[in-house]
Amino acid sequence: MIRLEDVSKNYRTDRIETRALDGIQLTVERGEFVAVMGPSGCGKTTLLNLMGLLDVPSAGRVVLDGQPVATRRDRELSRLRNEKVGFIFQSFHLVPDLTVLDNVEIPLLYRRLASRERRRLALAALDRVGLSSRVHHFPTQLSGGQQQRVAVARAFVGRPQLLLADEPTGNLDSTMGEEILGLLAAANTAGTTVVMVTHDTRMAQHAHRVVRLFDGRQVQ
Amino acid sequence: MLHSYLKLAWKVLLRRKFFTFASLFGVAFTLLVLTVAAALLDDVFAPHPPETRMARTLGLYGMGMTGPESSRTSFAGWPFVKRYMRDLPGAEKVALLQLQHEVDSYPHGQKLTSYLKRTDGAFWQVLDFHFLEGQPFTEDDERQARRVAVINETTRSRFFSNGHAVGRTIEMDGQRFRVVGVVEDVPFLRVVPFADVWVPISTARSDSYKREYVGDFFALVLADPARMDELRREFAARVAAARPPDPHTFTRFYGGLESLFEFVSRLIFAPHFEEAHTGSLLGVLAGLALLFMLLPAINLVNLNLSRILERTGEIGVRKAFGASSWTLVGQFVVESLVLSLLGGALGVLLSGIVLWALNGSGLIPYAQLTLNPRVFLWGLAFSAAFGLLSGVYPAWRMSRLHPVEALRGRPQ
Amino acid sequence: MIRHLLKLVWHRKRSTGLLMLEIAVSFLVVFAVALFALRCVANWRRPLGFQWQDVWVVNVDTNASTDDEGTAEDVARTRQLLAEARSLPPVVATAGALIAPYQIGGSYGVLNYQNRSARMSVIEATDDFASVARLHLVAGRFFGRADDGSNVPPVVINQRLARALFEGVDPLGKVIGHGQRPVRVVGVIDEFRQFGELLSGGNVLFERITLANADERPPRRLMLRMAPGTTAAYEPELVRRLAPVAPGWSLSVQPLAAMRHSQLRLQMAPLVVGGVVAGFLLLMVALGLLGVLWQNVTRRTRELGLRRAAGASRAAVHRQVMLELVLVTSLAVVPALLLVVQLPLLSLFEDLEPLLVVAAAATALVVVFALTVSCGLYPSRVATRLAPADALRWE
Repeated sequence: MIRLEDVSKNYRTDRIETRALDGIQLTVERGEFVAVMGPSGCGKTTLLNLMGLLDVPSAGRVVLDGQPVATRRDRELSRLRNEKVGFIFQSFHLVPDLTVLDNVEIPLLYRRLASRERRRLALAALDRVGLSSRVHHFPTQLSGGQQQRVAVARAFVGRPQLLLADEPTGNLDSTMGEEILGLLAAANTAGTTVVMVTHDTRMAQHAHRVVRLFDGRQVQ
Repeated sequence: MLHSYLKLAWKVLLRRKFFTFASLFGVAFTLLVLTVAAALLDDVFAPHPPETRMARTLGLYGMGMTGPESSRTSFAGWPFVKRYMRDLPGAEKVALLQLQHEVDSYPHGQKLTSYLKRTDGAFWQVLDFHFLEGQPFTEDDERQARRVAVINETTRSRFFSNGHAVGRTIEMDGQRFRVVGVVEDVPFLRVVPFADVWVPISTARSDSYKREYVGDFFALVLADPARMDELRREFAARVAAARPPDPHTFTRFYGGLESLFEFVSRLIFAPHFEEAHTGSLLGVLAGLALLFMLLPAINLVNLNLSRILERTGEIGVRKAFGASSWTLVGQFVVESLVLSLLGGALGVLLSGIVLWALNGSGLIPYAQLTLNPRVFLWGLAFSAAFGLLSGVYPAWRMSRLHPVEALRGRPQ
Repeated sequence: MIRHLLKLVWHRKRSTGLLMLEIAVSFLVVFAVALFALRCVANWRRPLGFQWQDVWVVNVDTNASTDDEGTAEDVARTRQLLAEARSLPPVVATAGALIAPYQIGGSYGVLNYQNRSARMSVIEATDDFASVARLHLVAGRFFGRADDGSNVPPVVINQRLARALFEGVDPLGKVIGHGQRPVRVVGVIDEFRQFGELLSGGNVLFERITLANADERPPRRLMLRMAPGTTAAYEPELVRRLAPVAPGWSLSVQPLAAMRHSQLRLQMAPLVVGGVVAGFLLLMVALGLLGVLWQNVTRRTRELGLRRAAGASRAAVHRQVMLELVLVTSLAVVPALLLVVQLPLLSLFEDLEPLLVVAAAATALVVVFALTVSCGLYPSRVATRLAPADALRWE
């Protein structure tokens, strides 16, 4: 599904250059559920950002769905993200100005879809996470678990082949966390590739495979 | 896409009530001032009755004489017009009118001040007055120096409290005139036709005007639109060839046929007939408008910038889910445009109220300031320009945000 | 602390730059309106030089196209008109002049004395003008019968002109060049601001109309001092009594009070319009600043939380936010202030007193600082109200 070939990422701030990732070789097969683990600051989120094409590597290349991602053009990257990738963030990142339904519609907004069709798909996604009764609420009116369920629905709604989750349970208590993880597992069973960053070993047990990072290097 | 942008813009504006209110207030107030100014200019320069034939009318609004030692700039004189404006090519009518002056009457023992303007018979044919009763005086009336007058509606009600005025007499400046017609009020800002009372030139108390080559008259020429240039050239040639009656003091005349707008710009930029400067008046007006818009524009840019940067998180999410930079620029520009147009609509509405109040206040006599379609379109254009102006820079700043940084909520 | 804050402002220069521009432009707007208003106030408090109460002006139109040439007959008629007016019971004193106060227009001339010269407005008036307008003489006398024999025409000047031309030397009795012919200064009045209380006025020279020569320009305005309490109801009566004296001339009466009223209204109009527009502009800026500062402060909640965690008290953080705002405002206002200080040096506007510029700049400073500080108070409170732990968690 996605392959990182000898990928490195450097950040420059003023005169100091920091290496966040160093020579990563990683292949995630279609339908896999991979957990990425490691201590804070080891480059987990950077790895996820590179996989999600939010960032481009300083060296090496990313091959998505058999196609090397050669472009750095914003328009191309945006299109690929929109079609192939779904994101879930630790802090949910729901848009506070929009209702639950409008939040879920965001990925569909950048495809040529009729508004009726967008609405139908978004409602179906919300139904799958069990929130059909809250579609007209604003994010601030929901509990943390409910907010993350909305975020999951938003990640699913465009039917991406790759789901990237960055500490999806980090801000939730364990019951809520289990619930969200159940949703991810269900998606995986339905054929979606899932890559999840976590530092919680219990959560990682749901994965088929665990990748460990330390100081920007892959240790396992 | 546009539809969803619009929907989104509407939702965001409803949620961010303070930002929306602050922006709307700024735009509406700016538009209010600009629209009122546009309505005032429109009242002076645009073709409204009785000046409906403005496009076909040229005027001799000012002229002078110059000699080796002195020169005198004033208005056209009666003999000059009679002698040099006859049989101009393409001219259909030539009307003469004096600058209005204030006269007092004491109809019921109480003082009434009116503006009196002396004109000729052709005046009523070049201009398009609407008569409420009676009719204009004729060229024959003027020739015979008949004491007849056309008065406006307000004068009728001030002098004759009950009903009709035609056939009755009115005393002005110690002279008695028989009223032959009543017209609708003409706004004070219509410099050429404005007066309360119009009487024949020949009823003047002294006929010294017949000897003054430079005097206090305007001459209007109603012309064939196709032959305007020819007309101007021919008149310019005649002015160049004409010789003042007293060749020792003054050796030649200056002055030419102009439109009203050219006249006003000349008055401001070249009072001594250096050259017609139509461009500069437009330039100065545009410059003033821009200067005035400076502060509101900076204010709106700042507000928009804040409104957008406050939503860095949202920008990150949208980028993550596949919105390209250009899509986001589009979204935010549409948001700013919607805001500006809403504010613009509000401003135009408010200016309607202000104009109505101005008309009623009597600050400008007989003002008929209106929000006609022309002024309205100006307002619309102003607000759209304003929206683009204030929306594009913040949107551009925003589109340069890196998605990873934006998600971290740390705008640059 | 200030250096620390300056660094902060510098690092945020891109986002604060536009804010500073807005503050600077607001400062200029307030300055312009304040300067205009203060000038009016300063002018209003200075002596006017004449009394407009109970003076009526009769405008005389001979219905000839030019006013430049008079005839012996015109002069005689004017004399008769003045005499007729003087004989009416409510009229206390009469005078003739070419132009009345509060009227637009007039003539100007240049005076030369030794190697100095001054421009001034020339008012031609009859001998009784001083008593009708109640001028205040500070030296010498107004012209009158005593000058009949003199072959150098007498003039009266105001103190401003005396200072400009003589600078310390006693002007009385001096013969000075006025155009081609010399004139003699017989008196100095304190002031005569013919365009009214709101304008600063200028140099003034009174020339004598004797009403004896056919070659002088006959006065076009008759100035009548009426008995106190004469009402407008007397106006038609006055015209009725005067009209037969000068058949063929047009006469119209206006109390000087009415002319003053409409002139003041005309002169106030730009100030009122400018003031209202500037007021709304400031309100708009206030709303804008409130929004921007609010957003600024919320965005920095984490930083502020950090400072709280590092041991800053709530009041200290609040103080810091306000100090930063004051700093930004000062940085914005300095270039605008430098720009404004050039005004008196530029001599673009005549008689612009430096003191007024300073006062207007001070007013603008106070207004702008009050504006920014009051707009910053609420957002800063909101930001510092959060407990440090919450602030740090904030995203």
